[in-house]
Amino acid sequence: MMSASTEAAQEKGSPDFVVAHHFDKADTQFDAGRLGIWLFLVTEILFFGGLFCAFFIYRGWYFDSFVEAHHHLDKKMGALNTVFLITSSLTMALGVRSAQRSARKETVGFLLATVLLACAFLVVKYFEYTHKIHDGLLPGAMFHAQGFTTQHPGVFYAIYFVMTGIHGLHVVIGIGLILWILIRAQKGEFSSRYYAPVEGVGLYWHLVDLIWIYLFPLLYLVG
Amino acid sequence: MSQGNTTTQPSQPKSGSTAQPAASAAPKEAPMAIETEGAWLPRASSTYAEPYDAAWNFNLWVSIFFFAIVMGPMAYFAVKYKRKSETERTSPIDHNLKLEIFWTAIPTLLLIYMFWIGFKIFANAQVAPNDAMTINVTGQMYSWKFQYPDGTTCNELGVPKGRPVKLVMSSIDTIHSFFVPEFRLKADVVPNLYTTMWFEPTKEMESVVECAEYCGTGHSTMLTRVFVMPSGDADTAGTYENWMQNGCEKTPLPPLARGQKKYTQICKSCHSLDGSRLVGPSFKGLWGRQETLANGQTITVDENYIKKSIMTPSADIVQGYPDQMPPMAYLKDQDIEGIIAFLKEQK
Amino acid sequence: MSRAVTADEMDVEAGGKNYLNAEKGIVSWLTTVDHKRIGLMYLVSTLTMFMIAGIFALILRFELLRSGQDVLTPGQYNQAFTLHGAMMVFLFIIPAIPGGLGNFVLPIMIGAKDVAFPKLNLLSLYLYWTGAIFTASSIVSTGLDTGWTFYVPYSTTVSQTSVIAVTFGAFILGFSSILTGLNFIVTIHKLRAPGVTWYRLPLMLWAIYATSIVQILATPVLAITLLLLILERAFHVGIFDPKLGGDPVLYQHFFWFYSHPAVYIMILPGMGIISDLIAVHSHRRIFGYKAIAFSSVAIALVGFMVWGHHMFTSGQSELSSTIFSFITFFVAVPSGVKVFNWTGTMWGGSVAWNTPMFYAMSFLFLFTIGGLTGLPLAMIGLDLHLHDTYFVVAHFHYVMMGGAVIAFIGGLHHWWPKMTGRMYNETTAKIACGLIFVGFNMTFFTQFFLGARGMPRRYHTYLDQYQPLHAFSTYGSWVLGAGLFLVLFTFIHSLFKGERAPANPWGGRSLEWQTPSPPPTENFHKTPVVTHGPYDFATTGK
Ligand code: HEA
Ligand code: HEA
Ligand code: HEC
Ligand code: CUA
Ligand SMILES: [Cu+2]
Repeated sequence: MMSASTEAAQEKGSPDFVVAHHFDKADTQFDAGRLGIWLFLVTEILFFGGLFCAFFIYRGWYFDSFVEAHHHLDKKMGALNTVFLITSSLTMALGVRSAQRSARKETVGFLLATVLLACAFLVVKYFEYTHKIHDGLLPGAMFHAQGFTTQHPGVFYAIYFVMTGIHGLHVVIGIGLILWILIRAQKGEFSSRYYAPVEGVGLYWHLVDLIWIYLFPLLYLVG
Repeated sequence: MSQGNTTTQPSQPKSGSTAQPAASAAPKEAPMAIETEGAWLPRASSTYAEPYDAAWNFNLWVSIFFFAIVMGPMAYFAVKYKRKSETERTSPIDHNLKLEIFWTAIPTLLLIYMFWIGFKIFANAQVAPNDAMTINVTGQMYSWKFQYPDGTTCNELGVPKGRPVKLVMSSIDTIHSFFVPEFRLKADVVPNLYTTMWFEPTKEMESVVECAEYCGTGHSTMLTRVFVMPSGDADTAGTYENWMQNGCEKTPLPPLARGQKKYTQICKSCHSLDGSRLVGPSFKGLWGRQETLANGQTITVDENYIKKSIMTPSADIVQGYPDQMPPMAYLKDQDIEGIIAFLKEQK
Repeated sequence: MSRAVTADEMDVEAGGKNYLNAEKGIVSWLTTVDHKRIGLMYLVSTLTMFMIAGIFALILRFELLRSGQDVLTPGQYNQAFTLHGAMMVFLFIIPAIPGGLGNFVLPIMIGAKDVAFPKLNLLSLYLYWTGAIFTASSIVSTGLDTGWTFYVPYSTTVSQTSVIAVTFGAFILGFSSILTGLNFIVTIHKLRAPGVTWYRLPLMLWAIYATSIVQILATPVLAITLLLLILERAFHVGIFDPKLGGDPVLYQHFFWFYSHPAVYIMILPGMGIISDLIAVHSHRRIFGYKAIAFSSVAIALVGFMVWGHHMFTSGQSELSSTIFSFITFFVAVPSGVKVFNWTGTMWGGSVAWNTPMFYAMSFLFLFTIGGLTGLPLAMIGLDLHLHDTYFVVAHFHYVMMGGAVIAFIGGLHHWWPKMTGRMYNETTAKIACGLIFVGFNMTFFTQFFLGARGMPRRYHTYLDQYQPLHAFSTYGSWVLGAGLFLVLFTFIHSLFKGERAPANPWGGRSLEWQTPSPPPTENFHKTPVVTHGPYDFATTGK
């Protein structure tokens, strides 16, 4: 979705970019880009929507297993990660705002903060995962932890790993995207006249954050 | 159409149409067939089938009607307004609200009515009467197992005429689907789930149970027979009770014939007799063969090995084959003896 | 086929620069961002897949000529129909009309120079190729024998074939499809030339728009489903495997949540083509423009709520079955509205007896049969008998092949002069159309009888009583195949020997006919200003 804007910004280093050949004016191009991003976010929501459905269905079926299994998740780590992501959303929003105000240094700073928070999130996730793997709290057939009284903790961990795994993948992609706009911001490509990529990546990042806001209570707190 | 009186059971590879040595031992069975009545549907043989056929006919005529009112005008306009010159002018009328409402509303009402008809016959098929006889059905690759109220287990379905029957069904491997066209009924047989179906047979007949959910190599040969017999005295030949007493046979079978029959009902989808590979190794020359197992051991095929293969197939896996043979521990000793006798014949 | 040349066409010097000859060499094609070139590459790719999948169909039909085993073992047969179905659906019919024809005509029809995101468009094509390679790779490795529906637990525990490669391929194809849909929605919203109001969009575009909505909303669910399937097969995570507590019926819900809407991804663009064909070749203002336009959107939206009608026998609750059955009937209403309005459009028109119009009429005939036979399937009680029999096979070939593919081939003839700058031979094209019509009905009408009489689908062999009907169906497939090869021949012949096409061979009024054939690289020599609707033909003016 970024391509039109990318194309537009090919004039390196100049805040006055060139409107892509097939657009009549810059506004149209911005609007098109923005609509594209929003549509993309819709597809993301449906993508995760399927998983949320699966979560609720199995939770209904194997309520006891879910309750029992979720006690083995580390609420503190989850909460810490929630703080990281919410803060990163804030820094991202500030980054977009500074880009809109053509404040280059600030933009770069905020984006960098966002990246660091995202990395911190991944580090915490890494510790959580290794811990789970060590305890044998794995999905389905790989589940071999002892001492469970209910039948299907494996299903809970299937959903846990798939959902947090795919979410984690989104975080990794997000880091890549933020680094990409960070470098471009460093080069001074954005200004109040042209900040569409920053805005687009920002929207994406908020979505990643939002999904975690749902994942955390559902998996860690409610079970 | 051919009513199937010249049919044979399918799935016999034409190429390797080996004259089966054991065949002579078995009393000749009529080939499997489904009776057809009229152009469309099979014979109606259950209380479900009768309202079904009425609904079918209703739907058929509605469809013919709507097809006609689209095709008639289309053909007429195509001829009447065939282009005569390139510069011809055409009608300026490009919409008509009344017409639009008309052809939205009428079909809507009709369609709701069609839903209702379909729903009615479905709803009646959901709750089995209290006095229904319960038969447990197990689907497995690639055979059917029926467990009757008295505990008898066999591979063919026999039911008394005029008595409601409830089937409680489940699968031990993948999804199958229990389908008797003459009853117009079908329900999936799902692992870890019990599905039910009930029917009341209205005609004495012999027909076919088919597997209607794709389940792999043997899907198209996962067929068995269904008999509807009069209810009566266990000593009178031809009654349901007599059939039950004979262990699901019209007449008790000698061992070899029994083995052959079990082979056809259970093993045939996976084990050929002509040396070709299906899911499992061919039975051709199996008896006494040296076999290498997946764990590297070699064994000789004898009575014990065959019995073990049937009871706990996962214990010894033949090298190069998947661990996909379902356990058939429900088979009686006579069945297994029969199978062994039959296998010895496959040289 | 030559017609009076209009003033508009006069200023285009013959043999001038156009999008085909603007740049040369294979690299210029592979790196192009021109929607017309991308469209053409889509067409060539999808038609190749159609041919391969169609040849699989001929082979499997040949196996069914007699009961027992002729040319394919049971395992091979299962692979043949699986690859046939999967390739037809994922590699041919879903991408063909939007990616091929849609890409070509959409920007021209709204007077734009290109789609909104040209590079993304090229990326879609590359994703399509990647997905196609994964899917087709199974042909040379261990094949695939799960059916195009990949039902669990068969696909995750029993099948010995390359399930992961193919589902991963379909996963990638899903992204291709999503990106195409996204691109088209934005293009239609943002890039209409001055004067192109929503109600001046050719109906083809309303259909594409509705399709794009479905692509965006349904395909992500397919993506997650296939991902879970892959994880299940590779790691046994237990979401679908009943042995581990998973639910195979949930998989079916997921799958059909996508795949029912997907059938509208297939048919809606076809319906769009038909609206254009009938209006243009009848030189007639389309009857009920708004009704047709909104019925596309209605079909797209209602289509999301009916997926459970594929699962009446699956063990889902009776209540769900009842609700799904009820809602299903409401898809038939907007479909009917379209059919009636198309017929209405022919009334008082000037109906050309040419190939595109014959395809349009074939479509009306075949789609109506296909749609009407959907109704007994939607009646729960009747479906218990018909489900997974050849009745269903016949139903969906009538709508997919008889509907979508016939419309597609009709559309190919219609826009062929525009795309290639050449006319095709009317005579062979008409003969081909006739062969296809006859062969198709022979092949598939027979199957309604087979199914009603209890012949299950996906059967390698069958009871002998079905023999005559199966044989007849197979003979039909030969006639059908001959017709399709004749189409191919006609087109190839046209490329080399065809007459030069004028800008507007059919006397159409929408924008694509106001630019030379083939169009220049940015579609128009100057941005057009539109002052009339796409179907404003000269009327008797009563
Ligand atoms: C292009 C694809 C396409 C289209 C358009 C349709 C259209 C419809 N389909 Fe079909 N369908 C498939 C592709 C399609 N289908 C496929 C691929 C499968 C099988 C998948 C598999 O299992 O492999 C399938 C299977 C399928 C089933 C499941 C069958 C089973 O497995 O048991 C059902 C059940 O409800 C169904 C119903 C319908 C209905 C009601 C419509 C309606 O949209 C049709 C509406 C149109 C009309 C009705 C005709 C015109 C209308 C009139 C002339 C108006 C007046 C009419 C009346 C008032 C009667 N379809
Ligand atoms: C778009 C979808 C589509 C199309 C077009 C077709 C086309 C055909 N199909 Fe198929 N079919 C499916 C989708 C489709 N099918 C699906 C989804 C299934 C279910 C699979 C499953 O159960 O999993 C199925 C299953 C299926 C079965 C059932 C198998 C079974 O259940 O055991 C049969 C049997 O007869 C069959 C036959 C045919 C035939 C003879 C054609 C013919 O129409 C084919 C004709 C085509 C050719 C002969 C190729 C020639 C083409 C060219 C030369 C190129 C032309 C070039 C130009 C036009 C420029 N198909
Ligand atoms: C679903 C398919 C399937 C069915 C049905 C099936 N088998 Fe098998 N069978 C296999 C497979 C696969 C193997 C090889 C792997 C193994 O040894 O378990 C096998 C192996 C065997 C072997 C060992 C063969 C050898 O070469 O050593 C015997 C004996 C056998 N089956 C007997 C039977 C009998 C008897 C029946 C029916 C009552 C039967 N099988 C039904 C799939 C099947
Ligand atoms: Cu069992 Cu198909
Ligand atoms: Cu459907």
